[in-house]
Amino acid sequence: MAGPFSKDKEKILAKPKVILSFFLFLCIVVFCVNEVSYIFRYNYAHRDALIGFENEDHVNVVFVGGSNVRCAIQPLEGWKEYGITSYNYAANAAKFDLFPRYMDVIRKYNSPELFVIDLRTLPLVVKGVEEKAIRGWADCYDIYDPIRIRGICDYFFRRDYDLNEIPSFFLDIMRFHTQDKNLGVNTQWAPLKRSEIRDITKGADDVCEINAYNTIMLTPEGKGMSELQMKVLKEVLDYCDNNHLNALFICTPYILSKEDYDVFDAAEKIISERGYTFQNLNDHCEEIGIDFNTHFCDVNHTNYLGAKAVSAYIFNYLSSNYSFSEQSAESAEKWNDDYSEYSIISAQRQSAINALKDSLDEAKESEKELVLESDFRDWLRIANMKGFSLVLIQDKSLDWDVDNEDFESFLDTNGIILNMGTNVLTIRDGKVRFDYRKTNDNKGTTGNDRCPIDFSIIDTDDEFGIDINGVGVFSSCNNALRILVINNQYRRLVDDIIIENADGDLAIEHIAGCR
Amino acid sequence: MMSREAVYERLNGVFREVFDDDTIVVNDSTTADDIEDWDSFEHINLIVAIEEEFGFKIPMGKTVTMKNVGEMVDIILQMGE
Amino acid sequence: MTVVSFYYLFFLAIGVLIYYAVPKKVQWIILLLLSLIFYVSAATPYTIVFLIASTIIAYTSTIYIYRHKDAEIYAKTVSIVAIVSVLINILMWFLLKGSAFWILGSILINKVIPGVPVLRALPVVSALGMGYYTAQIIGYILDVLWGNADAQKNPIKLFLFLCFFPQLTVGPVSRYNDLLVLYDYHKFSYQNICIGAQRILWGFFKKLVISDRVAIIVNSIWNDTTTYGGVWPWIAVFLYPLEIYTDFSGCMDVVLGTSELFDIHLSENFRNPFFSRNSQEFWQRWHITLGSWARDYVYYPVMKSRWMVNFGKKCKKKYGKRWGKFIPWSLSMAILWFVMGVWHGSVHHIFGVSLWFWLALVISELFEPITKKITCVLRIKTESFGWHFYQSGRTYAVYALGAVFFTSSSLQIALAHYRVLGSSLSQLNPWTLFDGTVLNLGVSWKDINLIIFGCVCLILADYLRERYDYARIWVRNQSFGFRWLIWIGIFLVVLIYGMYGPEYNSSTFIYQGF
Repeated sequence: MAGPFSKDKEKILAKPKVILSFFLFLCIVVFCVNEVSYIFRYNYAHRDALIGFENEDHVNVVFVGGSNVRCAIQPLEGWKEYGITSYNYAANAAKFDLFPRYMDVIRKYNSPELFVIDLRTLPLVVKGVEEKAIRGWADCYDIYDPIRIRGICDYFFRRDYDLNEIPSFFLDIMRFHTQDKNLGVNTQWAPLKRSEIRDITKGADDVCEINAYNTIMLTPEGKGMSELQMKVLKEVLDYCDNNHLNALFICTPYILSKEDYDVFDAAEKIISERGYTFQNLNDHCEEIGIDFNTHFCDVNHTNYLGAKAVSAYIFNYLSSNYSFSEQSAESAEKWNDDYSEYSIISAQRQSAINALKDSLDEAKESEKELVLESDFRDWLRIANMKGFSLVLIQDKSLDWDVDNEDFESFLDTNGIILNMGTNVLTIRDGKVRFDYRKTNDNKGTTGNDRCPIDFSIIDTDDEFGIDINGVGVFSSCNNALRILVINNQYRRLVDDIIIENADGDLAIEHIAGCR
Repeated sequence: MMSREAVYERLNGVFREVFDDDTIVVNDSTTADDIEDWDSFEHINLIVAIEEEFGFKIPMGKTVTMKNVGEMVDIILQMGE
Repeated sequence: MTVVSFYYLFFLAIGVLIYYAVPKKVQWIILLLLSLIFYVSAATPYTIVFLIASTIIAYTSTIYIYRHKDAEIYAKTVSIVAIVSVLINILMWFLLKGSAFWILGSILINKVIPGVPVLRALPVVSALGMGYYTAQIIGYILDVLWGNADAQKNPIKLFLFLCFFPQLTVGPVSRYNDLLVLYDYHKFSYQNICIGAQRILWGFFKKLVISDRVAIIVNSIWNDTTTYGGVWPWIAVFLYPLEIYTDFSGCMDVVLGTSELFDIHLSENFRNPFFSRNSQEFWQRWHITLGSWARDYVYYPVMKSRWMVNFGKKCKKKYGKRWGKFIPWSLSMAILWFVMGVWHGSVHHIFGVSLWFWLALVISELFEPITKKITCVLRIKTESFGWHFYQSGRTYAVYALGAVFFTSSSLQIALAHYRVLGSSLSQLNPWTLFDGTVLNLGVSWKDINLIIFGCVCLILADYLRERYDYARIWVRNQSFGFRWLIWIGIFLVVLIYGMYGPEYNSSTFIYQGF
């Protein structure tokens, strides 16, 4: 059956004009898809830092890692003290197997004399797909960028994945073209003017939270790395060898687990065999001057105070063991300008975090004196719920649940806000009712951000009890409510408040201290 | 053996009967577009009426492929032999 | 892989490249390979056995028929062979796709005669596009029987006729003679690629931008008619034809565009159905290939059969000329509609779809002389735009009310929907249209604006089609810049506003699965 257009076919032969217009059309289509992808992309944090790297002049050192590097190293400190120019090329949730591609990008735009590669993310390399890990980096670049495509392939094809997942990673427009609410935000349009994007802080974060932790002396159990982790480490080492790169391996300080420590221990052997150095800063915490009470914001990340300590140490180490080229006068001026801008921000951060530190110190002091009802409320305000958890044990007469009015007013009166930063858990009848997440799925956690208090519920015939870190506290609750206040740092019970039910009203009538 | 004109005489009668219109006159080039009611559903009525008039069955295959009255007449002449 | 998906486009791009790169003789084999790859990725692979079985049956019977059809002595056996092979194909279809019928039948029989066991569905999955390819193969066998086509001597070529991949999921139902071009050599023509790509793009636009959005509204309303009572069920009824039209015809555009890429031109399945003036014309413009298949292979043989002719004569004698024509016609129509209803595969489609539309046709035919008289007496200008609009509206309404059966999965649900429609007549409150309830249905103002914009584009395109045969002809005659603007504009609209990707649910067709 002849088609409706068959008459015209004879007119159009393969003229050069036709071929040209075809390619022009194709280019326009690809251009449109690329630009539209940019505009609709999900604006992951630190996108500006990664794209801004392209606009930096020559840097001496590039730190390659994940969000822990951003929080631990302040490049401008290195410039001020030692005249070393550096940059944190680090994305959230980065995984170690992407680092060769990170270094491809770095070498495309710059030629640093030293790569400092952070090993924190090596233990996190597992078979599962974590969207943030790949999109946070890949979505900063053109859809047809070969490094990006190679990075996505590298990431996926050594993991368990579903075929349907793949297209939207290569063509992220398929995932994000519903983000039209973002179009009103200026930053969403920024990547269209890539050459204007700069990150003054050179890829460093400002974290002004404090959470206190115990440090635990760890000795390796010798379990070592998984196969996949060994493979990716060797890949990175091969990459450095093949491209004749100068590389130093570090690991920023954080609250380690035993498994992680094993991984680093095994990694050290492999790295030193290949002739590279591995400086595990976790082993040098005293030298660095890390104060576990005040230098961390959560288990993985140091805060601003910690960053200053780590940066001082690392830049000192670099200047003692390496020599770097001088910056040109022009470039030095730019860095000085950046530093002066940064120092304003830095001063603000310093004062914010000092204020926080002071209030926490105050809270710790006053916890000894909680006797009166008003004291409890005041103390709650000062403590701002940081570093402390509340476990509320309801007896049968109370039936508080997520939407309960009485509970809402109790929280309001006592200035307790349920969110991720507060640590409130309620238990009724030996079962967890809900925790800070405002769900009641019967699994409870207290503690802040991946550092849960070890507590368990003990169910006996007569009554149930709560066990906190091995110190049993039975909580048969004859009255309406009992509040246990737990210090997250030391994981111990700070206070035990019994609230009595008077004529249907709850009132903090009696406060018992329990040290 | 009929002549073409004889066929047309009888065919005109059939058309007028089927479409209820005494003014219809068909010739070799008449198609379905020329007669108002002649659609694919009336077509089969026409065929059946022709079969009755001329006394033989038109094969199914030819029913759907005939394009105009001229072809129809050719088939009738063929079948009549 | 479905026809509207990223993988399909990718598959096509590679397929087209290979197709025009291989030597002449091998081109149809490439089509076969592509069809097999498509089949395996779109359906359970082992079910291709059924297509192979159909091919073998058709091949053997048509070779026999073709060889012996001219000899008088074989006339009877030839027809028997044809009928048997058609029946076997129908039986295969019936066993696998028509399971609803015989299960229901066994339930009914079980009620009357308790001893007879109730049958359950076979533990076998039916083949992809079984309704479509069975219709095609029956058409082929009958064409060979009636001498309209030559039997295909190469069984593998015949297999390609059955499993040609663009047609598998949604049709169109093609005739064998039209698809003989499958086996020819096709020279590369840039024009074909352009046309095919443009058509596929337009299909994506209809499906992803309009149909899936309207589907949200319609489904939300039918899922919860207590909250969305009053005027809303009626809105759902009148939006549904839009949904199914853009869905089905969008998909058809993708299919036809695909085959144009390979220089194969399949038959149109839609021709501006909502411009039709009456139900009769509607069915000549909607799902055209199925309608013409049913007409040529069901209606004509039935009307020409001796039984029907005699019945017609008796009616004429008894009831006069007009009724003598009307009664056999309505009976054949009933049979045709019954077949169409059965073809859709569920019991309630027979009652709903078939019965309703058959009644609509019969009633409009009955009242035709009366309406003619009325328009004469009232001196209504039947060619005016206003009258045409009224007729189109009426046809649309008839279709919309009947199509409620497509939204429901069973007879009870369909009847429940009608009951809701009836009861909501008493609660009609047009203000609910404007008070924001529509936003609770799962769409935002942006979506509604897009639907309106899409409809405007649709009407524009269909109008151009009515005037110029294809809207693309009109576009091609415009200036260079304007043309590119249109195509890039449509592309961007589909890219940004199409409902695809992990943020949306994957799209499936209503007509896929027959």
